[in-house]
Amino acid sequence: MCKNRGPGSTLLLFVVLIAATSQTGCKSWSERGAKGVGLLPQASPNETQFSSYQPAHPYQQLTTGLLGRKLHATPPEAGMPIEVNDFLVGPNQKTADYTLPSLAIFEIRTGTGQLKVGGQARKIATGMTFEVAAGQPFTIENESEVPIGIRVEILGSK
Amino acid sequence: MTLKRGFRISATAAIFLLFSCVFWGCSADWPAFRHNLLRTGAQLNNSSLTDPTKVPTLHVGWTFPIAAITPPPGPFRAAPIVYKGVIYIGNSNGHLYAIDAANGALKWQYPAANQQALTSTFTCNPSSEGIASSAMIGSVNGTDAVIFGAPDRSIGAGLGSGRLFALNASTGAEIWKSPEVAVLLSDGVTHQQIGYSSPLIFNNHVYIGIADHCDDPIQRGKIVAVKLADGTIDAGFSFFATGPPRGGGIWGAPAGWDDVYTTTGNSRVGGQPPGGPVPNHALSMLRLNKDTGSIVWGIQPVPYNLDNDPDWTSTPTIVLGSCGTMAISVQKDGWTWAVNSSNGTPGPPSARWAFPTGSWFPNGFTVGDGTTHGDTRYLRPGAAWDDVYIVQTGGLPVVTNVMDGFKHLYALNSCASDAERIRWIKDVPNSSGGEYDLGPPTVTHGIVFVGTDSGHLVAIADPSVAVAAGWRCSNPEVPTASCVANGFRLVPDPAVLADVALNAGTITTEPALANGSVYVSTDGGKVFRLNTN
Repeated sequence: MCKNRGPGSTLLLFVVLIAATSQTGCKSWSERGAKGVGLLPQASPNETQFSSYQPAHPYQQLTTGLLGRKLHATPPEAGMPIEVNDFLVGPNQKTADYTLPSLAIFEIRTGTGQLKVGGQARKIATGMTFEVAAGQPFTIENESEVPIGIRVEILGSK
Repeated sequence: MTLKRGFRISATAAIFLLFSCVFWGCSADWPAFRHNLLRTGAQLNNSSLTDPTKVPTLHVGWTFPIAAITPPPGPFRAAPIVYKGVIYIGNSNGHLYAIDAANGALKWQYPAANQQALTSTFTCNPSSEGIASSAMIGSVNGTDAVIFGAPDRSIGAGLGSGRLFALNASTGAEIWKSPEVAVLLSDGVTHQQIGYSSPLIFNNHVYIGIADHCDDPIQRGKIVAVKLADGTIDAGFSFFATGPPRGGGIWGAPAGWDDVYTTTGNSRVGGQPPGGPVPNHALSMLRLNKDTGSIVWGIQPVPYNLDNDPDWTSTPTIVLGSCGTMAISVQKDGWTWAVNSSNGTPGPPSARWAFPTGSWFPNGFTVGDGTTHGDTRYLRPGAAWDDVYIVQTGGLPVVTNVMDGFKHLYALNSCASDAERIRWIKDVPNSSGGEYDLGPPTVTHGIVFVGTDSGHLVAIADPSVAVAAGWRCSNPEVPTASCVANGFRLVPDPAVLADVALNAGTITTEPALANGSVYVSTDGGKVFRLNTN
C-alpha cells in the first residue's frame, strides 16, 4: 500500500503532522468537553485540616441544627429593645428545641420545611412570617437541600 | 482500510484539526476577549503557566509604556489581546496601541498621536471613556486584522457615535471602518454606545453589542452585524432586546458557537408602557440565529416586576461540557445560570441549573420568593476549564447577604449535581471583598489568574493541580468547624501560587495568558508582561 501513496497523500499527511505538532499541549480536541476534569475527592468524615479562612461575621451554633447571628440591636437607652438576627438551618437538618427570651417575628427568607411550636406543626416556606412566643420551645426541620434562612426580630429582648 | 478511505479520513482529520484550531481557540496566543469565540477565558496550550512549580516565580518582565509616549495612556478599561508577538489594547484616551510583546515597545498607535482620538463628548463612567472595547483578531480578505469598537466624532452628529474599526494588524493601516452602529445625539435621549462590548468575529461577520451611556437614559439594546469583508452592516441580521421605547442593553461581548449568544440589561425604568416594553427580552440570556438575529431561545429569570436593575451584563461562556453544551453566566444580582444550548435545534431553553438553587429553579423568580434583584455588581464573566466554571458569584448566602459573594471566587462543577456544585471557594488575597474587587478570571489547565482592586495579580491552583491550603465550608458564613454538623459540605480552599503586586492601580480587566506569559492592563495606565523563571 505504501508504494501507492502519491505526493498528494504525503502532502496531506505532512499537513496533519504539522497541524498536530503545532498543537502540542493543546488538548482541546481530546479534552474539551469530552472527558471533563472530574470531581475532586470529598473530605473525609472526620476531616480537621481546615484552611485559615474565617468568616468575617460567622454564625454561632445556638443548638443542634440551628445557627444564628445577631445583625442589629437597638441601643440600650432605646425604650423598646429590638434585636435582629439571622437564623440558618442547613440542608436536611432538624434542630433541637430552642427558646427565645421574648416574642419574636420570624420571616422565612429562603427554603422550605416544618416548624413545630408547642407541639403544633406547620409548613414553612419562603415569604411566610409568623410569631413565636417568649419562652416557647420550637424546632425547625429542613426537608430539602436548600438552607432555610430566617430573619428573626426579637422584640423586647434585653 | 483502503488507501482511498484512509485518505478521506486523513483529510477529514486535517480539516477538523485546522478548523478546531482556528475556530475553537487552540491558539497559544490570546486573540480575543476571553481568548476565543466561546468566551471561555481559557488557554489550552501547555506552557510554564500550567506548571505549578514555575508559576510562583512570576515576575514583571516589562511595563508599558517603556518610554514616554504622546498622548500618555489613561486608565485601561479594555483587556489586552495577543497575536503573533504583538499586544493590541485600546485605552481610555482614545488610542489603540500595538505593543511589541518581546520588549514592551510601542509599534504603532491608532489614531496617530496628532489625530483626533476616539473619544466621546458624552462621558459618565469608565465604559464611555475612549476605547473600552477589547479587540479581536480576524482575517479580512486574507489580511490579519485587529477589530474593535470605539466612539468616533467624525461620524453622525460628531459627538462620538460608536463604530467598528478593522486595522491591518501589522501596520495599523485602516482596512475598513463600519458605518455608525451606536448613535449618539444631543437630544438628551439617544445615547447609544459600544462601551465594554467586544466584537465577535464569527460566521463571516463581526457582531457587536450596543448599550447606553450610564442608563441616561437606557437605550434599546441591540446587536449589530457587519460583514467581515468590508464592514458594511448586514441588514439581514436584526436583533433588538426589547420593543420601543427602551431596555435590554448589551453590555457584554457576544459569544459564538453554533449561533450567537448574549445577555441583556434591564428595562424597568420610567416612561415605559404599563408592564414594560413589548416584546421584552431584557434581563435575559439568549441564543440568536447567527444569520438573522431571530431568537432561538431565551431565559429570563427575573421578571419585569422584580427588575430593580440587575442587568445581565456578564458575557456568556459556552461550556462544551462532558454533560452537553451549556451557556453559563452570572447575572448582576449574584445568581449564576446554566442553560442547555440544545445542539442547534430551535426550541425553548432548558435551564440546567441555577447557583444557588431554590424555588426559583427552573422557572425563575416570583414575587414573595424572598429574593431581591438590584444593581449589585456581579459583572465579571467566568472562565471555563472543561466542566469547571470559575466565577465571582453570590453563593449560598445570596438571598440573605447578597454582598457576601464579592469576597470569594468560586469554582463550580457545571456537570455535577446541585449538592456537588461547588468545587472550591477562594478568598483572593489583596482584594477588598467589595464590588469591583476582582477582574474577570482566566485559566490554563487548572491554574486561575485574576487581578484585584489593590493591583495584584494572583494565581490560584485547582486542588487537582496543587495541594489545597485546607478545607472550608461551602457556606462562607458558617465556621468550618460547624460546617458538616449543619448539613453543609467541606470544600477545598485552593492554594495561592503567586501574588504579584503591580502597584499600578486597580486591575479590572482579564489577564491574557499567551505563550507562557501573562499580560495584564491596569487602571493606572500600564500594561505588564509577567514571566516565570
